[in-house]
Amino acid sequence: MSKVVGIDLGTTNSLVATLDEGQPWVIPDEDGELLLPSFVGLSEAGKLLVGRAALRQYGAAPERTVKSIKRQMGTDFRVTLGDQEYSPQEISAIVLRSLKQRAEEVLGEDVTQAVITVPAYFTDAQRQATKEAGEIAGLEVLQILNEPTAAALVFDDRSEETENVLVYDLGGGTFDVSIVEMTGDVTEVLASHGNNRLGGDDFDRQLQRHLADKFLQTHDIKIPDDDVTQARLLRTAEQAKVALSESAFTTVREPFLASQGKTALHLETELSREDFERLITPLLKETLAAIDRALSDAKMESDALDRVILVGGSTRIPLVQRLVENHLPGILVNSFNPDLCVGLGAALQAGVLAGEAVESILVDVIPHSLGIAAVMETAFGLTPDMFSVIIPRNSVIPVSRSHVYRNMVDQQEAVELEVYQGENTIARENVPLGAFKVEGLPPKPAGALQIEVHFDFDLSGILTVTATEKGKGQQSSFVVNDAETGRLTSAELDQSRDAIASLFDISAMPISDEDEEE
Amino acid sequence: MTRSSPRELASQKIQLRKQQEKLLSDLLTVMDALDRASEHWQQAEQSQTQQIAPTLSWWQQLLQRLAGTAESLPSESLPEVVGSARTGIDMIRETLLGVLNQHQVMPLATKGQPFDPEEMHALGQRADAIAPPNTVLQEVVRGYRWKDRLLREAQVIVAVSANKSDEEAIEEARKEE
Repeated sequence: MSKVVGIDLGTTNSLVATLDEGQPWVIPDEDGELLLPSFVGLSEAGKLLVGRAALRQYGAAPERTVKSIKRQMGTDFRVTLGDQEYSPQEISAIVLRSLKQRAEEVLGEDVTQAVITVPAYFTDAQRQATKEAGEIAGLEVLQILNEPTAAALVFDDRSEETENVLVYDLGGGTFDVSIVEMTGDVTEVLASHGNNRLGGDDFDRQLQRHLADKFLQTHDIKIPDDDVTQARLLRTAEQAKVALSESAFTTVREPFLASQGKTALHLETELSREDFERLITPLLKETLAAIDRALSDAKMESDALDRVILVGGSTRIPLVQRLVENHLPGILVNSFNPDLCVGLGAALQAGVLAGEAVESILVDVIPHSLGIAAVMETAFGLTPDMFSVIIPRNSVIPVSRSHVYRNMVDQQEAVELEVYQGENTIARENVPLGAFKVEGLPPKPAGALQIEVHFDFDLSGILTVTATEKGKGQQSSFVVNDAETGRLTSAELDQSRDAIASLFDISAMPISDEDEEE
Repeated sequence: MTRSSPRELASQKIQLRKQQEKLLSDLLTVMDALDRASEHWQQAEQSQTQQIAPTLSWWQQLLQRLAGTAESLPSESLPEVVGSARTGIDMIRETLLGVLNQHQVMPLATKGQPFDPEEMHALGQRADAIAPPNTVLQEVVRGYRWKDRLLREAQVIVAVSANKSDEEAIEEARKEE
């Protein structure tokens, strides 16, 4: 018997996934890489290159390398490679065949049938071309599936109740937002909007420019504009971006970045998440406008949405999630392996079509928000004992988040962190998980001391809280080893939110007395 | 749990790889910094020697003296300071390279080699009158192999001839391989 697979045929990257005991998983290549860059090329000696090798040679031989062919699907565009001309579907077929081979090698059996995903806005001609690409690659295309639908399938329990899902897909170079209506096995894309030239690469470039400014401020000369220096700066920017999704601060160090006369010039600077967020907010505002347009196209108010799903690697940036949540208050926002989600959904659909038993219970989420007690600005001015949420409920685990807090009074020597779980805005009304102190803080005026509080919730349900004083790096941490902080499967979540809310009330019993105070 | 499924095997493989490679890759960033420092001091040293125009043998003598004895010179001149800094940096660099080599992490030779898309990432092209097209003109980030696999790709700038259909130059590049 041959296996069926799901394929996410992307503009920048593609992947192949299949089912194992009803659960989808992405098939890696022999090096353990999950994503295949959607690049095809010929080496100088005329050898076919697919994926990373083709991507690597693009800078040296753009005339022998094809990228982003997805943008040309359904057109009569022809690319020349070597002495032959190829249609977009032929180039896509090369990518698909490579994925097919990868799957066959890992699974040890033939792969002949596939579900392939396309953007919701693809026209019939573009869909037809994608299907042809599959056939050229030797695959029977069971279905051309919309990407947002595929993503939604990962979180869906196939109940007969109608669910409206908004899929927000922000990748490396493309953005789109779609509204999908799902009733049992029937799904319909109601609206789709986007910008196919916006994504994580733009954020990297913003940060690159920011670093160049920092260099100018430090050394009073402009950073050289040559390829090499700029390439180093871009690479650093990308690394900093990734680091800032986890931590509130990161230090950029690029020794010997340039020279002035014979003096070496280094770049060493601290970037805060706030800095980065300021840089990318204007770009992200545009994505929020697209949400509104999609809603209005679907003739829907935001409160008619049952769920928001974040797809694409750039949705790992905490600000993206926060902006979407704030823009659509009260709507459940889910995210699970945002790079892989579409491919996983395609594998689920392939399984359904092949008559396999599928489980969409993929994700574990935390049922209660986790946070600390803090003094916060409210309508009544500065109010103590407010609950400052660090990991919002329904976050998919494992999850790691951090926030920065400041000292309240001048010369504050210690800060006590009280950790709570729950949804009440008053900290004390929630379930206490314990408390600990960070002591020996350097004397600073009120507001000048920054303490980063990092919550790390792992797959075993263990919460580790770490507080770091930014200046001297004083650190203190605390572990809540507690099954009651609980996990909930996505299937349970798929019941109405009200039902879940009441469920929370029942299970939110006080934790036993094993507070691990220091 | 009798027989591992393809999925389990695949995930074991990825995990193992990530764990082992993480530390080595992190070390490479230190190596990069040392490479740059070394390059900088080498240039500084060259410009110093040009300014003062000493003979090469004089310079070699100095290096030997620096490496061999720890006695401080009565009056330190700038070239000596520069030279000692360079030697020190190079020593640290050699030590780290030795540690990496012990773990079978080896740098890739790229400069002057034909571009190889299996191990090198091309950042761009540059016209060059001498170098055959498709050979590496400049290495921006050094690549490393770990045992028989690529640990980190090299990032390079590749030569392109002003006249693209320069068959001879291409032939030459192949011969070099």
